[in-house]
Amino acid sequence: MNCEYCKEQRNIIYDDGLILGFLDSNPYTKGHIVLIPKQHYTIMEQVPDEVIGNLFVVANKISAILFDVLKVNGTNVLINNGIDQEIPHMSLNIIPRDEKDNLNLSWEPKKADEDDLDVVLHNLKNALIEKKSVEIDKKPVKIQSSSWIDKTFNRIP
Amino acid sequence: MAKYTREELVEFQQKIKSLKQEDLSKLSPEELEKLQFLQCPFCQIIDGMIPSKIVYDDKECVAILDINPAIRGHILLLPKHHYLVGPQVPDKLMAHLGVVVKKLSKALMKALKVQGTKIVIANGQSAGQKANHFMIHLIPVESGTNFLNLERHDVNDKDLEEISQNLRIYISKIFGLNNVTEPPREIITDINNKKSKDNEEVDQINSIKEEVPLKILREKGYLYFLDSEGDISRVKMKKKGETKYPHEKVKILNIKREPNLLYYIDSDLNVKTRPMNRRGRPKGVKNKHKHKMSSLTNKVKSNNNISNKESDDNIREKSNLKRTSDGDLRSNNKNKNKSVDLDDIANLFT
Repeated sequence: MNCEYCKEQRNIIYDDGLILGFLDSNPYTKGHIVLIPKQHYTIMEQVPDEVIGNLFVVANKISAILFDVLKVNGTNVLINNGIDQEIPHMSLNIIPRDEKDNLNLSWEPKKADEDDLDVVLHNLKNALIEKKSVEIDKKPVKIQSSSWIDKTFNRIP
Repeated sequence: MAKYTREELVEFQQKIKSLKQEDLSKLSPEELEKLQFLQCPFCQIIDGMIPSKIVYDDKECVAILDINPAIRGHILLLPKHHYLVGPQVPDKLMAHLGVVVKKLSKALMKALKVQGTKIVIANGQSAGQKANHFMIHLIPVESGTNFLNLERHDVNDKDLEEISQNLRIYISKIFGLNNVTEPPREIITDINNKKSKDNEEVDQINSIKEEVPLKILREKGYLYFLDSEGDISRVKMKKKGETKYPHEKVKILNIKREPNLLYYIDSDLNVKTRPMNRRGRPKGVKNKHKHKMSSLTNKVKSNNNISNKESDDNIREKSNLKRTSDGDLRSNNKNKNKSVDLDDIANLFT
């Protein structure tokens, strides 16, 4: 694989075997940290649950550290998942924030229709349920037969 | 189930209005919790006092649709307990939230047919946090929309190295094995004070950094245990057809064991103790079924104890030999034990 993040060796801050943390060389703000799972995954949906859990815990702890080390007033955690990803490797950005930096990480809230919200809710709930049924289907079904003929057939190499 | 009834809350609101600011500090913890509940709209949403569109609900967290979304399909993931900012959230809950985020973003991609999602956490007002309840935003983004596409800047390599060195010291201090039991906040303030006082002490901290390994979490495929010298060590788990792996020391503690306590290691590699389970029987009484065995083992112990005290060092050497050599010493030991057993059994019958 020709992935920049997999080869990353400069300015490494954190390494626990599963997760790697380093300073971004073209940062959003001063002290911008990138956390990645060491194994190559392109989007978050491919990453196993354990790694995702650890990733969030480590991000949370490091963002607490940034308050004291860089003396900032706030931190942002941002995941670009599937969009605006410059390097096709799932990554988590920790961005230290100050009131004076000109980073535009806010959005203008719109007013939504009640009906439209209901439609979205319905679709989302369906998507959540569908996923479950697919998971059940994927499990391999073992047919256990008690007859000795089947067993002997299985034994034959 | 609702935490508080509506009448109860109205009553409480009137009571607080009548109080002065000085009296607020005298409120009991239960009343403070009630006050917090009154002031946080998200706590009321979770409780069901304010109606909302709930996407996902489990024991620890709730996901709702934002009423004022940035983009259609904007989801807020909220922990059920009230936390102000991220650093207050305990690790276990944070890991759970991460897994739920993954599920929800998959659902968003499927339901709204968008190319990707953006996940945003804001800690602190200057980071754009508006509510007083910790939350994770999940925003579906279609390709072509220029949403939260941030500008990058160029920096000197020197600056980067400075920051990374600084951070590495703090991180190794906090995640490092030597300080796992201590609360992280206090360590940070300690270092800060030292740093401002002397430059020499910074060098000392640098030297500590080299000693402390960055590995913290348990690695997969290893068995962690408390060894005979009171230190934490680990062995790589054996698979079929592989030879045995040697023990590696992970953390030196020199814990002296006390009798009647079980020593064990928890998931964060802290050593903990608890009293041994005696299955509800008092100390002196022996179990019916194990009557013979227990008496035997006691006798063997009493025989060996005298010699043990005299030649502690020899036995340590032997135990070291046990690990290295393949089987000769072990088989000898087993035979010895067996011979003692047989003699004692003979004594019992006479």
